[in-house]
Amino acid sequence: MRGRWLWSLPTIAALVLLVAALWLAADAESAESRLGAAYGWLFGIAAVAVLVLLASIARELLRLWRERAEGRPGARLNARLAALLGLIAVPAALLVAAFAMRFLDAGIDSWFRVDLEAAHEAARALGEQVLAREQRNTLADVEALSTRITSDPLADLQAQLDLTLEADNTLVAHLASYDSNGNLEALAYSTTAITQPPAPDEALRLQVGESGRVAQTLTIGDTLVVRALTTATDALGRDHLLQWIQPLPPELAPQLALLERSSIDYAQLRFQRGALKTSFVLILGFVTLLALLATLLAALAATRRLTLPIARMAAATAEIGEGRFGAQIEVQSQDELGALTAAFNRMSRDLAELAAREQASRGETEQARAHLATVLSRLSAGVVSVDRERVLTANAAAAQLLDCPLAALIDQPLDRAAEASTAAMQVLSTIRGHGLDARSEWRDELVLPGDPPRALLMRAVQLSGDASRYVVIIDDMTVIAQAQREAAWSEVARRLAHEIKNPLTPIQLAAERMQHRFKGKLDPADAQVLDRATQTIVAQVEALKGLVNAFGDYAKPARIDLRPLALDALFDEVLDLYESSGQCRISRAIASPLPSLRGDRERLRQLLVNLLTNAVEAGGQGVAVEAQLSQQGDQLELVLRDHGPGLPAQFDGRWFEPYMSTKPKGGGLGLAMVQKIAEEHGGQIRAENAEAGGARFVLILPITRAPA
Amino acid sequence: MQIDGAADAFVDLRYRPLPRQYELRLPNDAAPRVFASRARLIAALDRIVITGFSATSGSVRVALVSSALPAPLRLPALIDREWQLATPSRDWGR
Repeated sequence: MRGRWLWSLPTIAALVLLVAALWLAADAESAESRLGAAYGWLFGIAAVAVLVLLASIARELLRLWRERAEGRPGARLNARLAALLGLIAVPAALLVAAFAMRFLDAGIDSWFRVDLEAAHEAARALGEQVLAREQRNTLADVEALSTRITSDPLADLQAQLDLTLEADNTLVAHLASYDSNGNLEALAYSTTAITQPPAPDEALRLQVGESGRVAQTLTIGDTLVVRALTTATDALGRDHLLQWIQPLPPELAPQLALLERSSIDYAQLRFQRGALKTSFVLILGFVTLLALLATLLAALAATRRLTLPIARMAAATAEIGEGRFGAQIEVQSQDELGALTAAFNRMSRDLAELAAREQASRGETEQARAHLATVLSRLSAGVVSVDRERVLTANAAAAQLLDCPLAALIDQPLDRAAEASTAAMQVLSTIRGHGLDARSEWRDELVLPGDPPRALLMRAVQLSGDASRYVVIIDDMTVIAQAQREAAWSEVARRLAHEIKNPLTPIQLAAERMQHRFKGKLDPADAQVLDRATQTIVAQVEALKGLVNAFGDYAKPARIDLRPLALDALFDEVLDLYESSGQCRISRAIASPLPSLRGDRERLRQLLVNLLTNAVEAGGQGVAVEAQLSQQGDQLELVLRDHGPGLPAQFDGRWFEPYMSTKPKGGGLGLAMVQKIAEEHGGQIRAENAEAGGARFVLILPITRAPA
Repeated sequence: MQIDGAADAFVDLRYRPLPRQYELRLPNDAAPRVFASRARLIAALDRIVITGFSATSGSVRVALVSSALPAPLRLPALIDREWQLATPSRDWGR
């Protein structure tokens, strides 16, 4: 509210200035003193108004300069437009003012042209002569009266005055006689227009005494009269002062009054000539100043108003340039600028919608890419895309197959990627050997030396749309063969469970029945033989049942129940079980806290039990075991190292297959189950000899995802 | 020539161009006093006596009332020092 009031100050000031200027202009040429007392106040108020206008203009200019210095949108255009309007308006106003002053000067001068002045002077001289004639006539009349009084032997003043009026009945006059002290002696008059004739004062009496006669023109009441005075000495020797007052003839009086009035006015005008010019120049300067200041202020306000939408549009454009779409500007007018603003708003909205669609599309693309990356990372087959010069992409399986870090492959020149490992060199050489743009599809097999050697199957397909890009799929045929063997073992186990388990119970029952039937009927020696044979049969049948059950478990299709699981707690629990039973001595290094993973609690418990059982069986009762659990990126790494005899020299991946064991009592299914459960959870198991002795089993399980 | 000092009083001075004479009119004068020259008029002003003024002390100040000037003279009178005629107050009887 206060700001709005302050903002209206310039308008109020301009109005005050305008009213004051116009008032002064209207009053300046008027002879009446309507505003005489208010001139000082008017000037004071106008000066304050000028100061307010100047302050407002200075404030606007300062704001404009600051905005321009800050580089605000539209400030430069605003300044340019304001300067342009000022350049147009100020010279025009000054030119008009200069011409107006020139015309005023010439106009006032024209009032005093030589011919006009001569005419005035001639008229005045004429009037002067007429008045002098009237004065002469009246003087003659009063001197004639003086002569009659002097020659009157009776010295009757009143009678002489009356006779003078009676002698000419057309005479309109007022006659009086005074003594030397100014006292009235006699009076006669033939006009009622003069009711109180003025008595000659001492100065006039003295003047008459000096010069003998005096003639004057006076205005008594509203009547213009000629007054003539002279002296007379009667027969008795008394001195008298005679006064003859005679109104001017009615045909002359108005004209002479008008002539005198105009002479006075003309003389006054001539006297005021310079002052009048100064007044008009001041008022015109005042009005010009008002026009200039108001024009400048209006120009500043108008350009601000005009450029405001442009400034907002520039700011909104900058926002769009920075990627923030959807900015809207208020449409304040219905003109071309308003149409432009509306069009800008539409464009901004459209851009925002397009950006949103593009964002959604990009999100979908990213999601698809992430999905593809996940799929690729979970593939057991290595997938590598290459062009003529570089390895473009590679998945984790490829890095594992090529026995090098993933970073050594991705986005690396072919030569540098080939240096990552021997396998990488061989695979990339094979790819180059086929020529990158020779065929759209090819396949090849490659055997990598090692212990054991690995057979790789490479299949390459040209990427659609780009003949120089290939995607190469690398399968480890050794792993495939292992999987095939595992499948065969599963089949064997299933058949064994089915074919062997069924007759075992009748065999066991038949042996126990035979023992029961012949118990007490045989001599002690035969009975002893029978008991030993029966116990052997029952024990072997139990052993066979255990073996068959183990094979059955191995062959059973994986039905895992994946739930969020704290592996560290499960690991601790299993370790506690073994430690408390005295089967082994355990030192633990379990990191905390560890994230949960999705896993089947019972299956993972079996995995851990199998690993620990394997350690105890290999190292013997009370073997020392070191257990570690830690997070490695997005995986959990579980390490179990025993201080037993270590792995056999010929140990390789096949030892995770069924029926591979160095232990005399082992069924060869423990490690096979470990590998199977690890794979069910998307993990891996590997075994190696520790440098300080003993075997070291490393289990890797993913944290966030587990295959269903 | 007397002026009653107990009341507001105005002395009217006038020049008449046709008879080429100056006029002086005091309050209660039926007709103006006429002078052939300005010197005589000014001499007559010296002879004016203010009567009926009973105060034993007071102050007097003479000033030109610029607002009473003809309109064209008022603006220049506001800004021109030559028009700003005023004497300081002069005290008597204290």
